[in-house]
Amino acid sequence: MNRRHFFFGCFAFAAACQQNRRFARHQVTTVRAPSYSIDLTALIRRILIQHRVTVKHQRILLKPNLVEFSSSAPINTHPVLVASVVEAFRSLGASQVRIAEGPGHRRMTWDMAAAAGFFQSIAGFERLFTDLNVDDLARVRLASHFSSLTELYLPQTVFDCDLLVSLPKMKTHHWTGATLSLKNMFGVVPGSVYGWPKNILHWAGIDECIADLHFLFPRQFSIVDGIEAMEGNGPILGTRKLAGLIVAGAHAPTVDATCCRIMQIDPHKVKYLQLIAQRDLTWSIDSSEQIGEPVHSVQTRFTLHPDLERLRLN
Amino acid sequence: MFCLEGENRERCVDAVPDLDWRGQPARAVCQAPPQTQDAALETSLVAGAGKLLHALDTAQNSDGGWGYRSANSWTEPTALAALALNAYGCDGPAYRRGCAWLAARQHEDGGWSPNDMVSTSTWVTSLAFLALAERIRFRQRLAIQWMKNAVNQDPSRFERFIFGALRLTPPKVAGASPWFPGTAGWVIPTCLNLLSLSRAARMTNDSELTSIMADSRSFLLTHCCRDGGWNHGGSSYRSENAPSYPETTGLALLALGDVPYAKLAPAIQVAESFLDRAESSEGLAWLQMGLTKQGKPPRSESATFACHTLRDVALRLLGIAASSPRNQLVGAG
Repeated sequence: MNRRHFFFGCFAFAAACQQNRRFARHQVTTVRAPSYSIDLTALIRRILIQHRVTVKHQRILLKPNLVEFSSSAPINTHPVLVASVVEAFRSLGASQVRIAEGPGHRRMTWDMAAAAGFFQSIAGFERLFTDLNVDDLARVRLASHFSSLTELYLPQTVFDCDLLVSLPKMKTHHWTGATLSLKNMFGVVPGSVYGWPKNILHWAGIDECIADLHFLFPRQFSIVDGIEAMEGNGPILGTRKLAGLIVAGAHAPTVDATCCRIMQIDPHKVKYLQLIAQRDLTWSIDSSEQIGEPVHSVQTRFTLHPDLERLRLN
Repeated sequence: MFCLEGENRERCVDAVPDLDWRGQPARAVCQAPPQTQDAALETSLVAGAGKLLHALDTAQNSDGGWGYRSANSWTEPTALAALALNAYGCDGPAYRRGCAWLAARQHEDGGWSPNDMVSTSTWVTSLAFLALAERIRFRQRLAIQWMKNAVNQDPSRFERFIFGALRLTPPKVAGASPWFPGTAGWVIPTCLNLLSLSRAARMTNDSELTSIMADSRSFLLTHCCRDGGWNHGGSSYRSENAPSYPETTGLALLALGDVPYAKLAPAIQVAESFLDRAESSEGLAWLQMGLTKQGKPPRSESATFACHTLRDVALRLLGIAASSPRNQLVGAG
């Protein structure tokens, strides 16, 4: 066997392995939820049971999106949904359910939460909530190195739980295409160290930091608020889009890829999903097990920022 | 959580009982109450200030610093607490221990980090400098040099070429200060750095400060929102219609104290309109200080807000004492 045969032999073997590679098929549930007035607690409870999420005696931390507040735009995860998720986890035996967020542009976290209706919707909200921007810190080395960052100071609260639940709003994003479960984790980076906005994440690469944060928090569950979503110039200046959906699953990249397809964004063109797929060789953007509504039946065209039309699903 | 009159006290007491004044009557701790032209308003402000001062007093950590909500001390709330105590003439043990906590934490590079866990000097340096300036012995020259270095310089020719080719605005704009070293400049750290450099200019004969401050003023004046006020200061690219915030508008007016009225008239109008919808105690405090600095002190307090952290308490005190000659933030610019 000469060098040429050896080289082509290796190439053929690698190609064959690639073809036969079995990707993990993570479950994603998509359910219709026409409004916030339906029984969302029962709906979320069903999803958690369906996904066999270990809840009993667990400390659960919910991370909604409260990046800013506007009375005229659906920027935040709806407080009624957050309240329902709290109730669902409690009813399944969680030992503790807390809510935490570190808004990205303004420092008045509690006032924004009040304006957004969190105090009215969630009994005892003030006792359940932690402002991650001013929480005690832990110094953490990153598990992956897509961005130029090697370590981050992160709030201790996110490490003091057994299950982190990302509760994002389904929104378009004028830099990354879509902001969903993965991008929602930017909210855990503390403003008291990195500022408002957390500009270090932009300098180190937005998509790259999204991927790095994912590998730092591999044990998550995601529940996406797609009931009233946002399209256009998201994540702040976009407009209301009634999608009437809840999308959930234990593997955030798969949940986000599903949401992208629903929004008619090609997940293969979303850079942070590409990066995660590059590193996680057990996962492919296309591999998933869809439960509930088939994606094609709930697909709805989200308006994108004109500069991002290239991300459109053909 | 702390509350002024009119807030739901039960809610606040439940939240952080160890930080609340526990319903004790207002205590006359200070010698220099706020100075307003409205006697009734002054009485209510003094009562509110008394409660807040008491809250600060009881929440000081054993190491002399203050935290946001927990027992761990941070530079920002400690600097603001020291500024607030000083504004009311409270220069007793609490103030001195707070200043000593700050002075002991100046890094070798002249700056301060957000707390003991973080090793990098950041934007909080401006506040620590303002709290200590001319009062406590610390390495002032090093601190001033750190603050000067924190201000972004003009982009290099190479950077201009690259960004020009990509049809983008260079993110590092001359005169702007970042939150964290090595990143872009934003409105709040630029305002705080401008306030502290203005203070430094009065203490030294450093001619370089004049041009740096001119660049910072220029950055602020060119980074206001369409409505005339300021928000966090993001690029207008893809965010052309972003609205301004009360807190950043008030702070920018405070930092731009030397700028002629004609250039700031629209911003002052926006700030006055924000007074009835300040959205937070922080917003109200910066508006009070900014408008006072611009010679338009608010005559009435139509809104009350809960203070959720010790930073809120300190800022609220500074807002109430906006007219006090001892308020170092209003006197800095």
